[in-house]
Amino acid sequence: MFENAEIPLEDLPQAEAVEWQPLDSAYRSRLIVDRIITIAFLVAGLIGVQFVPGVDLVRTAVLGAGVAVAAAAMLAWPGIAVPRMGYVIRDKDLVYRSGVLWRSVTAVPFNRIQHVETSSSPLDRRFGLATLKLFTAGGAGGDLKIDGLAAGQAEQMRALVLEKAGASIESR
Amino acid sequence: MSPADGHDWRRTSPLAILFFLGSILKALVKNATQVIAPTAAFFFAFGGDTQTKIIIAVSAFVLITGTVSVLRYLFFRYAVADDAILIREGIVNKKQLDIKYNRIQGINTEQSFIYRFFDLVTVSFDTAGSAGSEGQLPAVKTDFSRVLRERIGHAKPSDSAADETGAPAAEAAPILKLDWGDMIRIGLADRRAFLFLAIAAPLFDQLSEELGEVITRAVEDVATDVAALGPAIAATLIGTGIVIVVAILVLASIVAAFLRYHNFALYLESRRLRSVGGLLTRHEANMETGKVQLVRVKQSLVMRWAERVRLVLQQASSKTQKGGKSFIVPAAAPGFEAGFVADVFDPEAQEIELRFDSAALRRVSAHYLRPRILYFGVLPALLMSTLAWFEAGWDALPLLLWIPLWSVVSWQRWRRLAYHVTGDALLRRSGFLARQLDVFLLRKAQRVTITQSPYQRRKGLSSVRFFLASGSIRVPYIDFDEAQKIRDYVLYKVESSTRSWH
Repeated sequence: MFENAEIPLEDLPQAEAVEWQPLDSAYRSRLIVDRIITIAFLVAGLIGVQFVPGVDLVRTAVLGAGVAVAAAAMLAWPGIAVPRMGYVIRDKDLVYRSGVLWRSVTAVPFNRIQHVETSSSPLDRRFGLATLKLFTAGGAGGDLKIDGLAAGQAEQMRALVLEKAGASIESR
Repeated sequence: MSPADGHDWRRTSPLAILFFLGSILKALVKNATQVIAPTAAFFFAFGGDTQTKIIIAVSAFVLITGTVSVLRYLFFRYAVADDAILIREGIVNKKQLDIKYNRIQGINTEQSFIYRFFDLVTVSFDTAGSAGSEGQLPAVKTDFSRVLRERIGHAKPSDSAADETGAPAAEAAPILKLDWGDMIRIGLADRRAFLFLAIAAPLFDQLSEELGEVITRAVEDVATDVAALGPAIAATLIGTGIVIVVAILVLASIVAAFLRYHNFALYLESRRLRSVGGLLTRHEANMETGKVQLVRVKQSLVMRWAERVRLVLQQASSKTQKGGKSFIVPAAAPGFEAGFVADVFDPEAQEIELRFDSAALRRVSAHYLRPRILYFGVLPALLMSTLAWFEAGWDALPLLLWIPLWSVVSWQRWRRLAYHVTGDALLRRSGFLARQLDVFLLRKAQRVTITQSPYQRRKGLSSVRFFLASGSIRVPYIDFDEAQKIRDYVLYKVESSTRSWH
């Protein structure tokens, strides 16, 4: 028989009252290396411009200063943003948070997960990192992506999530 | 691939040739540009008089499309296995489709004018996770489609105990029927005619302006009365022309409504929705109520004036096919939706008050307005008018009118934005000119995300987005604590639910 006992909202487990698990510390370095590569391209472009005849030196200096400021911000940002990212695996769902200015917290119940994927780019592998992707049904961006997990950790999480998702399907 | 197997491979009725002919013609029309070039080349290169050319072209066309249709029919086989429908087709590129029953979301049938005499239908299957409806069985007996539907209904995991209570009644009474008055309403509510008017209006404006100039010049030149009248007549003619085009478009929309929905009847039998309708081709659509992810009740301005609402029931969509195949009730008298949605969600969400002006609906915070007006109203208007000022001076000032205009639009949107969470469903109202109500069962959520911008954080607000298998629903600018409570409650609902979400 269908039951619908009233449950006081206050008694529900709160997704916010959790111990956030930080991402792997190597992730910050990995992001910084990633950005150094981008900055290197920018600087190369800036140097290249010097060889174009008729380029104004003052303008390049202004542009260079802009690039320098942007580069500083880009290099500092992972140090601010990465500690704000975190996840927690609860009994019935996975919660992920990110964002410094625009903050977001996403909760994915295990019994809605369709499949799980881990992946790692060459740069990721250098730092021993991997990305975990959880796919749920639905057309519009139906997946949650967690970057910067230790490779072994990502693999463990994948197995755990699969097990939990499977268990929830069987008990259906 | 199944081997040369024990399946009972069957052919459909020879009338399926018509179906293949239709699909070839459709493909030709779609690729019209590619078809026109060789045709033109033929006409150009081939000597002889026009009549011979046309006869040759037409007979070649008939011969080729006819042969291809017959061949496609001959190569088309299907078989009904225990767990799937198997389809083999293709003349050169062979392919075999295995459509598993448990992946099938709904069966839709279409009965064209000719098929009706032979009691045949074309069956198409909606499957989760594929682009478009993937398999089609042309020209099979109506009875067979019924058997198939039964079979698929039994193959899927039952959604509730109320599911399999005996065979469906012979022919239950429809819960909704639409008459010719509704067809006119649906046709009138069609946006295309108004879209044309909107596009044509500035054109008309400009034309009349130019014509006005011509008129003044004519008068200044002290032309005769008749010459001055010429442009005025032209302006009247253009105006009349636009009115006639709009009238034709409206008429075409009404005809289209008749073609698609004539004698529309909606049935709800043992948790299965079925609609039939159509003047020449009878369309039959089916959807299991358990597969409904979201119900959208929409009322455009015209529909509001005509006292009707439009209902769209969305099912799970795949990555490639946004929105999925929806079940549409094109028009219903206001008030119908409440009972209907309660029946669709039965036994859940029975207490929901499905009205645009329901007192239970709570508006989102008015702080919604500030960033919206600032970032999309004030800033772009100031920027544009400053840039234009260098060019046009004071003439750039009217650009600032964007600010009040946008503010009014935002304010109206904010007034519409409201939400209500009941025991097992969430209701969201939105819209600008049209009114829209979205309802979904909380347990059908796939994911929940709470976001906070810096401004929202200062005000203790946040936005919540509920991801469903059919898309997402966002409730912006609500109290952060409230958002968390709703999120935790939705998670509880999802995680404690033992029912299937699809």
